[in-house]
Amino acid sequence: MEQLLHGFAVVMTPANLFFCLVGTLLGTVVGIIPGLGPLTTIAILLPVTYKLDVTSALIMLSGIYYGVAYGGTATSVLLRIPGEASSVVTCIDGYAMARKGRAGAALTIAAVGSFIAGTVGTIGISYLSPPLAELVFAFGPAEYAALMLAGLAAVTYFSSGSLLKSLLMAAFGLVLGCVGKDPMTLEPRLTFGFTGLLDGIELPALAIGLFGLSEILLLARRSQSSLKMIAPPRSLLGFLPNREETRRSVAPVVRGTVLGFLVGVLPGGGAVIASFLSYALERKFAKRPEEFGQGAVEGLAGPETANNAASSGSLLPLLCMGLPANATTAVLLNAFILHGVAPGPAMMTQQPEIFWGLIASMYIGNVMLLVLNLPLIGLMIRILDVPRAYLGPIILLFCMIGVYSSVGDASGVLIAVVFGFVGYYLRKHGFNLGMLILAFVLGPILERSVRQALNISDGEFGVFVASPISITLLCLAAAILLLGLWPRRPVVNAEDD
Amino acid sequence: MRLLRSERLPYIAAAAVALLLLSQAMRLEDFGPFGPGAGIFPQITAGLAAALALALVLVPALGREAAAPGAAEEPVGPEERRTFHLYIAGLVLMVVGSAFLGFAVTTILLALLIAWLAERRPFHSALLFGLACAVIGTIGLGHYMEIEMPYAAADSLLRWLVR
Repeated sequence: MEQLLHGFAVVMTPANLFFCLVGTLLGTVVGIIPGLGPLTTIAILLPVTYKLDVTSALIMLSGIYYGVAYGGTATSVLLRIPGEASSVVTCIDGYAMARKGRAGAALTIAAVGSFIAGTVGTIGISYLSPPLAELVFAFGPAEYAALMLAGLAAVTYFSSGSLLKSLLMAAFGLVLGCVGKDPMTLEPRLTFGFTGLLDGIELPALAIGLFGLSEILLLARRSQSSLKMIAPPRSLLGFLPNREETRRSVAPVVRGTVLGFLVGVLPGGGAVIASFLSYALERKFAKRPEEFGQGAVEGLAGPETANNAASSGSLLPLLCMGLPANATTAVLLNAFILHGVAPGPAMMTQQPEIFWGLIASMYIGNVMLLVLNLPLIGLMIRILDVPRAYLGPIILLFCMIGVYSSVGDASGVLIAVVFGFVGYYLRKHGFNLGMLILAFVLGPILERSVRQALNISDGEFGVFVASPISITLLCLAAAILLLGLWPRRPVVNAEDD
Repeated sequence: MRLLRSERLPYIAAAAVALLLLSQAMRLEDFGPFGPGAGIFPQITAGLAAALALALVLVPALGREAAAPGAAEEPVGPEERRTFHLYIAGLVLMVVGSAFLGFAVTTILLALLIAWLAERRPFHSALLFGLACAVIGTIGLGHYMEIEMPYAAADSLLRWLVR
C-alpha cells in the first residue's frame, strides 16, 4: 500500500498527469478510427517518446493501450463499426440500443462498466504483482523457456483460424527475431549479406509494415460508403441510464470484470476473447435470451466490461514476468526495453518508482477516461468525418516518420514497406500476423533462455525436462496444441488485440 | 499442376522462404567450444517453419479453418483497383522520398498522389493539404520536437524560416 501511495506521488506531477491524459485521449481516438489499432499507434509514437522522461513515456504508451477500448465502444454503439477488434460484440446490442433511442445510456453503461473493470483490474495488478514476482524468481532458464513455449502454444490456440497457419507465423516470428548479429558471438545471422540487417529488424518497421501499411492497402481496395451515425445525446442528462437498465447491468459488470481479468492474465487471452466469452456467458445467464441482438443491456455491459478488465489483466504477466500476453503488449514490452526498463520481477525492487507510478497512472487514467469520454464522445467521433483522401496520407506520413526516426535512415522505411506488402498478402490469405509479432518479440528472450539452459547442462537437451515446473509447462504446451487440433476451436480474430 | 493451385501458393512461398532461411542457418555453428553456438536457435525455428509450410503444401486442408474472410473475397471494381494501385505507388514514393527527397517534398507528392489522383479530390485542395502537412510536420515535429525525419533542401529552407 505504501508503495502504491509512492506511485501516486510519482504520477501526480503536472508532466506525468499531462502525458497520462495525452495517452488516454490518443487511445480513445485510435479506438475510434477503424484500422489504426493500439499496436500500430504505439509503434508509430515510440520515437516521439525517446526525448521524454522514462516514466512519462511509459505512462503515455500504456494510456494508449487501455484507452483504446473506450473509443472502440463509441463507434460500435453509434455507427455499428468496431473501431477495434474487442468492440465487435458491442456492435450487436450496443447499436440496437442506440436505434431504440438509448445511445446515451448504452455509452454510459459501457463507460462505467469499463471504468469499474479497469480499476478492479488495476487493483488486481497491485495486489497480485508482488507474489507473482516472487514466484518468477524460482524459475531458471529452462523453466523460463518452457513457460514461454506454453505461452506461445496458448496464444496459438486462442488465435483465429488454422492451428498450423498460426504455428507457421509463430515460427517465422522466431526466425525473424534471429536476424542480425548474434548477441553472444556477434556473428551475422540470416542477413543475406545486407549490412542494413546487421542490427536486426527493428520492431517498429516490422509492426508498422505488417499492421499499419497492410491495413491501408486493405482499406484502399474498399469503396467508401457514407457513414450513418446515430447522434449521441446533446445534454449530460441524456446519458443517464434508467433504473431498469442500471439494475440489469450490475451482474454482467461484475461477471465481466472477473472473467475479463482472468482471461487477460492468460497468455493469448486478450480483450477480444474476453468480450466474446462474456457475451456467451451473459446469454447463458440471461432471463430473456431472446432480447440478445435486439438491444439487451446484458449483451453490452458484460463484453464491454470484460474487454477492459482483460486489457488491465494482460499487463500483469508483462510487468511481473516480462512476458507479453498478446501482440500489443509485445510492442509495449519493446517500448519498455528501449527506454531502459526491463519488465520482470526485478523491476519492482530496482525501479519501484516506474513500476508503481505506472500502476497509479492506470487508476488515474481510468478516471480521466470516464470523466472525459462521456461529454466529449460526440465531438471525438467526428474524426470519422475526415475523408479517407486526407486521413490516408496522414496515417502514411506518421508511419514513415515512426519508422524513419526509430531506425535512423531510409532503410527502415524500405523494410516497413516490404513487410507492408507481405502483411497484405498474408492477411488476404487468413494468416494471423499477431502471432508473428508476438513470437518476434519473444524470440530473443526465448533464445537466451534456451542457450543459457544448454550452457548449464553442457549441451544436454534433457535440462528442459529436468524439473517438475518445466515438465508441467511443456506438457501443458503439448496438451494445448493437441486440443487445438480438435475441430471445434474458438474462432476469434485476436490479431490486433 | 494441381500442386500450384492458388490455395497452395502462399504455402509454397512460405516453404521457399523457410528453406532459404534454413539453408542460411545451417551455415552457422550449432555448438561451439563454449556451448551452444549462433546457429542452434535459427536452425530449430527455421526447420520448424519449413516443416509446417511443407505440411500445408502437401495437405492444404490443414489450413482451411481460417475464420476471418479476407478482403479479397469482397468484389473489387475497376475504380477500387485503380485506387489500390495508386496507394501502392504511394508506398513506393515513401521509400524513394525518405531516401532522396526529404520530408516536405515527399509529403506534398504523397498528398497529390493520394488525395488528388487516387481519391479524386480537387487539385488545389490536395496541394494545400500537402503544403499544410509539410509545414506542420517539418516545423512542429522536425524542428520543435526534434524528431529525426527525412531531410533535404526544402526541409532546411522551412526550418531556416522559423529559426
